[in-house]
Amino acid sequence: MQDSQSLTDWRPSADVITLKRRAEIIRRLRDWFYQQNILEVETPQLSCGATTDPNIESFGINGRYLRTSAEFALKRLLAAGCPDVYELGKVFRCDESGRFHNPEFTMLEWYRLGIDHHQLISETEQLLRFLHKDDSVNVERISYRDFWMQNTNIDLAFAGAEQIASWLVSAGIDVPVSIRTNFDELQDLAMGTALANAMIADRYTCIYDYPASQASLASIDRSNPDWPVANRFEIYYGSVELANGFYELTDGAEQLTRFEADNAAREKNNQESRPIDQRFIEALYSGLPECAGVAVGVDRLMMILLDDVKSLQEIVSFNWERA
Amino acid sequence: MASYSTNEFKGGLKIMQDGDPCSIVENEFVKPGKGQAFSRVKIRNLKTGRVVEKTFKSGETVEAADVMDTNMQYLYTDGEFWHFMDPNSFEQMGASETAVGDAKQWLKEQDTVEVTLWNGVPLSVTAPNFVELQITQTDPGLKGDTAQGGTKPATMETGAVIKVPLFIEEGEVIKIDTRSGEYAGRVKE
Repeated sequence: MQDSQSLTDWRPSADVITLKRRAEIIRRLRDWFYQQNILEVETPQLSCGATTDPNIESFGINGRYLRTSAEFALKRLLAAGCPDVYELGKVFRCDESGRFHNPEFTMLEWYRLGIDHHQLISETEQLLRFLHKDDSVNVERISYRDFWMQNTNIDLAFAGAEQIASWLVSAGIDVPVSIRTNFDELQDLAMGTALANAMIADRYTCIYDYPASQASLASIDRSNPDWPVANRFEIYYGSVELANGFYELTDGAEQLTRFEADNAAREKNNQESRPIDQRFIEALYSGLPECAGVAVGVDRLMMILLDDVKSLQEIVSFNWERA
Repeated sequence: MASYSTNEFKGGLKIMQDGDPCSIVENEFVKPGKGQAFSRVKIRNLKTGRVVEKTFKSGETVEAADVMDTNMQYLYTDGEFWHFMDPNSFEQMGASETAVGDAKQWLKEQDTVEVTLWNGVPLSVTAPNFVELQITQTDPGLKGDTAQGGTKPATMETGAVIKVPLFIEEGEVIKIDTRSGEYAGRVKE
């Protein structure tokens, strides 16, 4: 992975002015959470359990795993009676490297008791207005199903893999053979490419009510039998994903079933299964209050706020290649 | 057989696609939030030179192409093959007209060029960015015409015909930029 030239390149990937502006934004972030009376906490980075999500790979160290988000620990705090909490800290994801990805990155994650994901979208909008110092900043909201209808004329509630695959091909996107019949992965490819580009540049778009199959740790709304949805949202800036939030699943048995299904999917894909965070499941059994939570990629947020910054490496002191 | 995983993808990596050796031009990692990640790559087919876009699911592996760039000395052509020699091993090999491609008009015996080998067989030949060739034929130019910047055709010792300034004379050696096929200057004796 390393060549001798990169080993002599000791300088930071961000310049000093950018680091000062970054520090100022972090200070304002903490101010905002202090004003909202949300408690700052620190939780372990190395834990016995790991995410089972087949699309997220953890780093393993001496029988433990570096966290890929602070979610499990933060929810355990809430189950133990903590009030609203937030954490600003490093998380780690193997193999995610690119213009908008660094395997080690800073994540801001917060949880609000007694509100749902729609209220949390509004709160995130308030935070963005505060950080931009501009009350006219808006987060455009559209449901996942409507977003697809608007841009592809496909109604996902009644469509199959074939329709998505042929839409992708017509949009000029090469579709790998391995996903041609996979309804969810075809959607992922579209959302990462042609549909991401359909989002309006330099604006915040919030997509909510994801397909139930993409629920992750969100609760599911089954009120429409044709189209059960995950109470989950994503906020994009232009085509870049900035935040992911849930109206949280509080049912321990259901969460355990999803983790086990993840591990089964991993084994099918020849990926190592991951130790389920049993303490997190126990916390859900003991009772997680109704709450909503959101995680924000802080380095990407910096890229948006400092609009002369064009890639993630310019906003972190030392990017992956220099670490 | 050697293979690469998508997380090893980077510009210049040589992979096999649809039976042809290719080189990765550009690699973009895309991941839509919580879903499946993909590598979107632009790859150049080293046989045809065509660039296409391909998508790979993250974690997928592709076969590596046994492609190697070597510096070799051009010896001669027999009309069907262009013969090159490895200056270290003295091994000789013949490249087809397709492999030599556009480079053939710049090949002068004894010159060193880059030969790309695939499974040990020449796949393509890249001429140096600049070559020095002698003019074998050109019409006499007019002295004092340098200011006008006019040009005239000149035939090189390799058979290539390029445009040269009017003051250049038959028998002179000139420098040519092979990427544009343009005159780049006189070579002082």
